Amino acid sequence: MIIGKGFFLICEIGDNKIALPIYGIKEILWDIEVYPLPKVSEYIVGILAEEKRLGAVIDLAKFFNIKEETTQNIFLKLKINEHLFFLAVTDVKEILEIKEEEIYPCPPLFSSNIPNYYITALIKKEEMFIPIIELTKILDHEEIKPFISIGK
Amino acid sequence: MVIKRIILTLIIFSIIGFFLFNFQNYQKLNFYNEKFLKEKKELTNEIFLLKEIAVNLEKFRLFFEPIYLNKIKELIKKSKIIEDNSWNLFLNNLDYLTQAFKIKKDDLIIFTKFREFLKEKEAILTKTVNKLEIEYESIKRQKIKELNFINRMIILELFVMVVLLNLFLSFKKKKEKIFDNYFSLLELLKIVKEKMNKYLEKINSWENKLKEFQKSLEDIKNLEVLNEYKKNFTYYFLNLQLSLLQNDHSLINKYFTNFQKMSEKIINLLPTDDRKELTTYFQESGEEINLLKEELVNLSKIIGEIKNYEIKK
Repeated sequence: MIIGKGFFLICEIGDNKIALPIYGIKEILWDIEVYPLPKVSEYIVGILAEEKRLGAVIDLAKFFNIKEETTQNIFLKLKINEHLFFLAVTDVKEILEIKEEEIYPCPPLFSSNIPNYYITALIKKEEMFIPIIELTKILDHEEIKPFISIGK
Repeated sequence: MVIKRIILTLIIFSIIGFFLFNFQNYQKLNFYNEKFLKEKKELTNEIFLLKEIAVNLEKFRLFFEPIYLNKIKELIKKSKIIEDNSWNLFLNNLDYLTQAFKIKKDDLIIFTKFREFLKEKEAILTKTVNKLEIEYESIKRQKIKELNFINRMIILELFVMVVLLNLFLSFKKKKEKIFDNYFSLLELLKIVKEKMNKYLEKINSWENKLKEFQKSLEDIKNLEVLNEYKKNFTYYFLNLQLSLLQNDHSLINKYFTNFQKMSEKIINLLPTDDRKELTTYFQESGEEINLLKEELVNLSKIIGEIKNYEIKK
């Protein structure tokens, strides 16, 4: 994935802020009911139906083992390579236009919660660094991969 | 607007005039060309006729066969241009030669005179052809020169009018200018965002005021409603921004409608809380509430413009 200037959606998972490239993010949904799936990992919270298709819902906070104090769940509807799926985040804050000079490489052990493997780079916003999460790596996770194909 | 229309009409008429004028001149030039070719053809035919007469005359001189004389007579009849009494004189002399019992040496001088006559006529015709050609070329040059001059004047006039129109009377309205391209649309979105942030700030202050009264009031539904509205308002805006960035028209429409409905709901909610505890607050902050309403109406208008622009596109 090439990281350069562009638009990023700033979300919260627990107390952590993360940035997601807006490519593929179709809609922000809230106040909707997720249908749980039996015998699956904790972070695959269920399925959602949209556009007469089903999509798996992955809870990012649970995926990264981040504790959530608030129960508010926001769902990001994504369509990447014709696969429909949803990401549950604690909140969405804003869409930022980021210039190349505002993007920094990620140092080792940047976050105790999010492994470096999933971080492409960092965005500097005011005095904070927000990690850009590489979604394709999450989707390639061996437990998640089979559920992503539901939404094809 | 009136001046713009007048200039536009002038431009349109100039363009039509330009084409009509050029077409007319093209027809005129074509007419001159045809006329010249016709005249040239007639003269060339006549020259050819003279040459043929000369050939037959030579044959008659050598073989003295009446057939050649008859041929000469036929050819002379064909001649349309040269009307000269000399023809008859020459023909009578030649006839005499065929009928004469004994031809004298002096009688043969007729051939030389006839040849000279033919050459003289040929020279006159060739000169006429050349003169005609020179005249035609000169007329053609003159006409093209005039045409070029007038064309240049029309083009210059058109250019000046277009420059004037662009300089002083822009085609675009002020509002349309904002939406010149996708990036200015994003600029507009920034303005909307700023306005929305201010708006949310004001709702927050209202919310805080309500919280102050929370203890003394058993049930403040407004607080929950406000919170809900705030949340919806933020997500509608983010979705609107997302759909604009990805140029998804169905989502733009969906979230614009939601956004507008939400604005109306908030406007309606504001003055309804008439409980005693809040009356003073509303009275005190009446101006602020009015500003808030105004801001919200403006915000809806701006977003409406974005929506209309997207649909038009």
